[in-house]
Amino acid sequence: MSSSLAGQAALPGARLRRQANLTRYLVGYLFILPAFIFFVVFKFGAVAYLIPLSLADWRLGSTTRAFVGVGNYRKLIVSPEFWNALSNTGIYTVAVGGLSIALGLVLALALRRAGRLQGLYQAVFFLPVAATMSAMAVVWRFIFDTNIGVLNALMRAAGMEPLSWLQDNRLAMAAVVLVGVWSNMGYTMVLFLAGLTTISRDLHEAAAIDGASAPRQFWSITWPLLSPVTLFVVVIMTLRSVQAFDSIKVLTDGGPLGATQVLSHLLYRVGFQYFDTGFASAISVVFFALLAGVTLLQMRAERLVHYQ
Amino acid sequence: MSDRQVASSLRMIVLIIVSLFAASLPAAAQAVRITFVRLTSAAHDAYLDPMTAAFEKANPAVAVESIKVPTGGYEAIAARALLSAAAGTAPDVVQVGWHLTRTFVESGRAVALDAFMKADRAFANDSLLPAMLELGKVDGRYYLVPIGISTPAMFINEEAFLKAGLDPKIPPKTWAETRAAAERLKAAGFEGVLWGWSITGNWIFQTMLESAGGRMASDDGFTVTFNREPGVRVAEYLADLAANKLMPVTDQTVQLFSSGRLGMLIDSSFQRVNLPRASKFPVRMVSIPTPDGRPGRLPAGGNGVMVLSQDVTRLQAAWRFSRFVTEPPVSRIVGENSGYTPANQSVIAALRKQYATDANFQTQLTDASRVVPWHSWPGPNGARIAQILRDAQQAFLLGRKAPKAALDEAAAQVTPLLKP
Repeated sequence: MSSSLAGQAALPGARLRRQANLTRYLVGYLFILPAFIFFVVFKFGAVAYLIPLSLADWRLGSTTRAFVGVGNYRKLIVSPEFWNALSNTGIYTVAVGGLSIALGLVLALALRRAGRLQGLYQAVFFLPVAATMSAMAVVWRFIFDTNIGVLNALMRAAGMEPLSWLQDNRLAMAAVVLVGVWSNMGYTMVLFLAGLTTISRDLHEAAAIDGASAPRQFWSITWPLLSPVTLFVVVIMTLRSVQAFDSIKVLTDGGPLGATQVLSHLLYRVGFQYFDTGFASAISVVFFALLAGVTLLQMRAERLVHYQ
Repeated sequence: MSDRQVASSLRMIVLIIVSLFAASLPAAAQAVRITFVRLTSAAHDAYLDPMTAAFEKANPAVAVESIKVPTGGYEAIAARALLSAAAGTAPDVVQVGWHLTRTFVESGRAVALDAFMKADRAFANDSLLPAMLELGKVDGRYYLVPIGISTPAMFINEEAFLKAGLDPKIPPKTWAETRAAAERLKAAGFEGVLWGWSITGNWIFQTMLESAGGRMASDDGFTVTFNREPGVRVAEYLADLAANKLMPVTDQTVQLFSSGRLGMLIDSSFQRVNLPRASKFPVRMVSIPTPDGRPGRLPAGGNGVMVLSQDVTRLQAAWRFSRFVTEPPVSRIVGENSGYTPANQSVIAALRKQYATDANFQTQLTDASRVVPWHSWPGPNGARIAQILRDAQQAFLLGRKAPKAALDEAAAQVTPLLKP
């Protein structure tokens, strides 16, 4: 009896608290509502619209559209161009992502000891990130050009045989990876620098007193405590590398003979050069699913992350 | 034809009839604004900017909003225009390359201009070069009004020629002479000859093929023939040049030539104005060499304007703009400021007289009189086929595949894309 009375007395109090919470949160929800609507319409809406488009035979701008079911996906599965682009995307992502992360970390560790010049070096390494990639790629194209390129001019001056940087399959992939790393390592460096500032110096000092060497300090203190930043950097770099387009478009246009054609470039070519919007939408849907899958997998690695 | 296509055609016919009726009424005082999607670069702005300004001056009631597409060429323009059309904001006029005419027509967005051409007395049908007007025709109807045409031509670095002991006034006329000149240039430390294999996939290849007696496909367009004997001869000739380092395999044609390292470049006559400006040496433009030295067939490059307007008033203004590009003042602007040969015959005759001492201009005007259509593949896969042909050429030029094998593989890939 007494408990039921207490329960009845608690009810209005709980309701009031819920109402107060709702009012408090409502203001917050109202603040994010415009951005949320924008996001849903222009991001999720656009992605959702791809699905019906991928089920249609539709040429860009055409007044007619025919439903073809999974026809575009069937075409995709038997398309050697698609598998080649997928494989190139994997190679490019692993190479650019891996090298950018490794070099960004090395630069961040080195810059922490750079003293007063740290700001200057930081700006120099970060500059390619801020530059317009397509414009920078034009400059790189002239550096790599077989006949009038700076690189081959230097090689000729050194008595070496000039190389066809952008015409040879392997060299072309290496060239686009090099430009990709050049444009991304400043970005990872800044993120790692931010991560390093969160690690307390006390830990290093205590380890030093206990006689831990610099490599031991790195593997036992710095690296584990950088793991939250590393996870973030891996996710971001994977997305940036998979979506790379402008540098590849300008440097090689996916060539020679498809050697540097990645999924984003194939998507552009099919959609905006062949005007085959239905097929391009099918590529986009698969591309989106792959990216979402890879990102989810990476997020599951969060349990390996050490938070301070 | 599907119900939607029939409905779209009927809508277009009604629109044109209403526009023609409206055209007979006194001009409305209210200003009309039309959009014009076009190329932009120093070379293209040189004729497009004055052309648009001249139109606005002659038609004060019509304002032209130029939507400039800086990179990606004709394909980027087409993508921009078709995307806008899909979004319900189709531009009124689009600058279209000849090879993309069919793409627009098959999209159902292009307005057939036959009725305007017949009804509008101001349209100087008779004064236009018939061959050029025919280029804008698809399935018997006119869609593209020509701004100008370009033809494949050879550009000679006179300085390199003289250093190699060659006389630029006696240019190579045959393929064999071209190879011999390339050898001399190479011995003098220059790059020999660059046949512009990369230009829109197959333009130069088609020129060489047709000069050698071959054709891209059968008359109905559905049987591939570019891999027969004349095609193989072209491929073997080019592969031999590349293998012997007499031809650099690059798509940076203009940059390489203007750097002074290249002796001979086969590119578009559009470069007649651009190349000498970009180079620090005298440039001579001559007709493209052929297997036996006789004048060969010249597939027309270049562009025209196409109307996509969906509104009666704007359609009228768009037609007036399209008509204007063929009139003498604009034809003169195009002829003098670009390497395109304009459509108006009276202007061509005047330019021929006025520039009698300009050998490069004379070459351009003479070559323009013998153009043939650039091969247009039937169906929706023209751009994909152009890419296949470009890849095939790159494969044999880089020595990855034997010339015959590369062409046969390309033919096998193209054939299923041509299904009627």
